[in-house]
Order: sequence, then C-alpha cells, then structure tokens
Amino acid sequence: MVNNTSEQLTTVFMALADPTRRAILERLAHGEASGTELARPFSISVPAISKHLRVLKNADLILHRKEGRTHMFRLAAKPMRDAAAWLEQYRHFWEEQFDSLESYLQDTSEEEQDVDNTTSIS
Amino acid sequence: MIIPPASHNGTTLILRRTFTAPRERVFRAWIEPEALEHWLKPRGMRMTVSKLEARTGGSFHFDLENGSSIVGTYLQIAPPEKLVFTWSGEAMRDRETVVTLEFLDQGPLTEVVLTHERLSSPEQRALAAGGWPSLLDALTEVLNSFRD
Repeated sequence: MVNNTSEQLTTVFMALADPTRRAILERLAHGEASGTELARPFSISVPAISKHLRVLKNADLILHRKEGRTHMFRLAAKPMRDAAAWLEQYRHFWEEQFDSLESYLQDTSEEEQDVDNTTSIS
Repeated sequence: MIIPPASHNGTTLILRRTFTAPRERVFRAWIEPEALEHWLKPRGMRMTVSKLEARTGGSFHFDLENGSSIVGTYLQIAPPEKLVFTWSGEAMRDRETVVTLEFLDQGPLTEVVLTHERLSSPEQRALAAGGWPSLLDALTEVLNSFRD
C-alpha cells in the first residue's frame, strides 16, 4: 500500500516534471478539451501531444473519452479540478488587486513628491 | 526567504509582486481604510470599509457595491513585515480562507509574497487515505511554479 502510494507519486511527479504537460494541465483546469485543441498553443505535432497525454493518463492525472473520432480530455478527480479552478480564480483576483495597488502607490508617491519638491535635492 | 511548500490538505496559491514603494507604505496600504477603499476593488467593484480593527484579533468588514461583503479577522499584524488574516467572501461563495502577506524590504522597492490558503474540505480530508492530498499538493506546487 505504502509502495503503491509512493510509486503513484513518483509517476505523478515525473508526469509533472515537463513544462508542456504542466501547461496541458493548466489548460484542462479551465475545462475539457480535445487533443487538437491541446496541441494548438504548442508548436508540436498531434502525435507528440498524444505522447504527453499518455504520460498524464498513466499518472491518473487526466481522463479521456471518445466523442466519435475525437478524443476529449479532462482533469481526473473532482478535488483536483476544484483546486485548479480555485487557484485560477484567486490568481486572477489577486493579480488584479496587485495592479490596482501598484497604480495607487504610484499616484500617492507622486503626491508625496509634489509636497517634497520645494525642498528636493535630487 | 523560504516559502514553505504546500504541506496540508487544502489548496495554496502563492503570488509575488514587487512594488516601487518602501515597505512601510506598502504595508500601510493593506490596513488603512482610506487606502484600501482606493485600491482594493474585488471584481472591479467599489468597496466601502465598514469596519477595520487593525490589531491582532481584530476584524474587518468590507461592503461591495452589489450588496455582498468580504469579512475576516486579523490573525497577525506585524508591521511592516507580515500580515495574516482570514478572508471569506460571500461573493465568491467561499469557505473561510487564510491570506498571509510578507513584505520584503528591498530599499526603495518592496516585494510582497501573498499566500492564500483554502482550508481543506471534509471531502478532501476523506481522500487523505488514498494519497490524494500529496497529489493535490503536487498540483498546487506545479500550478504555482508555472507562472514564476
């Protein structure tokens, strides 16, 4: 049991070690996609993307189903989908707040500088 | 500066941003109502600070223009280095979460490290037996490192 878990984790970490596969997972956090859709952002062939998808599937990170001749992929477990969606939602949220804080600090810094201008040495 | 890896059964978001302002000013912007009302705009909405007790154990209440609110409690206020608070937003249909802000002094600049943790759900804890938390932690780490 312990071996199974650690074996599974090794497979997962190896699957996650590749940047293309991480990008695929990030894309799938937004929802189901076909192999062709997943290949599009990368300058690699559909067979090459298939290889990456096989590695992710063997690590139980993604699931796939056939829709006619199209293979559709999605993140494997609901907790993982939830986690990924939550991360994306808040990443977006805080990035926006950081942008806003940046402008605020800039604006108020100009005010402070205006006050300082009379005695400025630089 | 060492950021502890996600080592629990929840989900952790880590973001870093460097601001062109000294540390004290950046810290103050997070606990002064006038400052917060200027820049904190959840989902682009105007926000009013109806309560803000800037002390450890104190609480805050932000009202959004759509009638929803964000509430929380300050778990640690250590100016100008660290700020930890709980955060739950009705607007985001969220359970209580914890936000930790670390302010790193870089002279005229300040690096802010934001760690936002979603506390684990009973569902996630139930999966603890099957190695899922480690999987979730791994995924969390990967998604966090992806945009660094």
